[in-house]
Parts: sequence; C-alpha cells; structure tokens
Amino acid sequence: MSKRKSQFRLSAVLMLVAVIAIAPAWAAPAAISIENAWARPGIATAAPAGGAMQSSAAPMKGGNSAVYFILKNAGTTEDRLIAASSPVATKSELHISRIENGVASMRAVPDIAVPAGGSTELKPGGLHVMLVGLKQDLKVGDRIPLELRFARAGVMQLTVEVKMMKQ
Amino acid sequence: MSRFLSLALAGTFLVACQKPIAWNGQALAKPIQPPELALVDQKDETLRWQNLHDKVMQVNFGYSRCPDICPLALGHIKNAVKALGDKADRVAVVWVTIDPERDTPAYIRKYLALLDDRFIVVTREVTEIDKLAKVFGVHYKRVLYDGNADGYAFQHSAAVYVVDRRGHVRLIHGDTGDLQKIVEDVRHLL
Repeated sequence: MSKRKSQFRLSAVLMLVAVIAIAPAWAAPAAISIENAWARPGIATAAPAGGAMQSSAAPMKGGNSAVYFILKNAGTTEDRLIAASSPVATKSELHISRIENGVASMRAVPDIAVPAGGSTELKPGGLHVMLVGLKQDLKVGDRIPLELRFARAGVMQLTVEVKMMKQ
Repeated sequence: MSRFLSLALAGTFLVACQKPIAWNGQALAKPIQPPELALVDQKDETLRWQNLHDKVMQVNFGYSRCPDICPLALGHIKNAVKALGDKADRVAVVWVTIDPERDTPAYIRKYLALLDDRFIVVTREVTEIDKLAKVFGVHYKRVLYDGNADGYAFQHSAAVYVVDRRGHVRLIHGDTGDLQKIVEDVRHLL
C-alpha cells in the first residue's frame, strides 16, 4: 500500500468521525418546542414592616413559585428536560406534586421525559419547575426569563409570563 | 297528654319525611365543635372562632411556600365562593398556615394581595395551630430535602373542610378540584 493511499484512507475515516460527532448538534434543536408557559405569582420577602408587626426572629428568605408549560417533541427520539434555571430564583428545580390518600407532597425529579412525536404537560397539581427562593416579587403581568436544558436539544431560552391560574 | 303525643308523632313523621341531604363531601357522623383557641390572623389580631359563626366556612391548611398544590386549592376555593354569586358574602374562607415560622402576618398580608384579600389566615401561634389541626384531623409533617434553598417543605392534608353556621365541622372534601360539588354542599348549609 502506498503512503499516499493510506493518508487518503486516514483522512476519510477522520471525516466520518467528525460527521458522526457533530450529527446530534445539528439534528436536535428543532425537535423540541415549548408552549403556553406561565408562572405563578410569588413574593420575595415580606414588606419591611415597622413596630411589633415584624418579629425579629422572622426569616426573610424568599418565597417560591412554579412554572408550567407544554413540551412538544417533533423528533423521532425521546428527549428529556434535565435542568432549569432563572435569574429570579436562587434555585430552579424539576418537581412533581401529588396527593396520595389526601396527603399532598412534593418531590424533586431528576428529569422529565418528552416522548418522540409526543408531548408532556407541566401543570398545576403535577409536574412543574419550582422556583425556589425568589429574589424578586413575581406580579401578574411580569415577564421572567427561563432557561431549560434538554439531554438532546441542549439549552433553550424562553420568556414566561406571570399569570393567575387559568380557570 | 294525648295532645302531646300527637304532636310528637307528627314531629316524628315530619322528620322521617324530610329527605336526607345527599352530601358530596364526606359527612362527619358527629360534627366537631372546635374549642375556643387563641388564634391570630394575618392582621396580627386575635381571631375568635365564635365570631365567624353565622358564616359557612371553607377551611384549608397549607403554607405559602408551597408553590403548586396550595395555590391550586386556594384557587378552587376562591372560585367556589365566586360561584355562590350574591350569597358569597355569607361564606368565609379560613386558611391555616402550617408554617407560621415563615408565614409571618406581614408575609401573609403580602402573599394574600396576590390571591385574595378576603381570605382569613390563621398564623403566628404554632401551638394553637397544632391544636386546631388536631381538631380537624389534619396531619402535617415537615420534610427536609436536598437542594431546596429554603430548607424544608411539608407533607400535609390537602382537604377542604366545610364548617356550618354554628361553627361545627361538617364535611370533608378530599378532592378540591370538583368545584361544583363543594358549591352544592355549601349551598345546603347557607
């Protein structure tokens, strides 16, 4: 085998490796879409109150809120929401609420799957992004930034409106 | 004597003929009368259970840092009151915070401004809240969990309790989602 021929083979292999490596990057982004995003109103801290109203021992950490939306996956592979973050909260976590035997509880989940060609709804009483420790009040009509990270689709940014629950 | 007997018989007959109310919620076999407690509301003022008599009450236990289930339940309760139309002012909503440590009166006042200023919130006195929870048969448990910047959350009974105009706990609605069912029961008690 000539040296020239082996060099050609090597570059062909390298090109193939490169194509495989970048494939998920260009195949994924269009697959996930986010619809009907909204957040609940919430408060950061109590208004500074004078006199006896405010106990000196009162903790002044921020309140919490929840964000809901519908995730749609137009792709042919399942994707997973793996993290969320927003500058308005100390922490943003993926959560699920449930009522079992009349007892309400809530726990963090590691991810939220979105089936291929399907959708997953985050809604009151179930899956939601919990905004923990609000740094600012969230009032009806406010718009807040939210970043979502998916296993395949990567990072997506959106603006979420603060609303009262749809009745 | 015979007159008394016939009256008594007529009375029994009337009672027997009265159609029993088909409650939607779980009716307590023996209505509970909460004892007088030293409760405090969001205005940081004494709240007397007796002063709420003459109103039908919807009572729910929760905490303001509960981001999902509690505002959902409060939203349902608010709509149940709204659905009563011109009779809405004969109903009181009492929300008992199980987290008075963080749900200070000042904090609650600000929180309520987002939801409904007419709600009455029982707060501040942990021991009295515990007693009230016991009377209602409400269980709650503080749970610490990883990653929560706030440190703790609660597992708690999510039911709506309907209290009649004499202050007796009469009905339990475990499912707050079915608005019409709560409204029907409240109407019977007005």
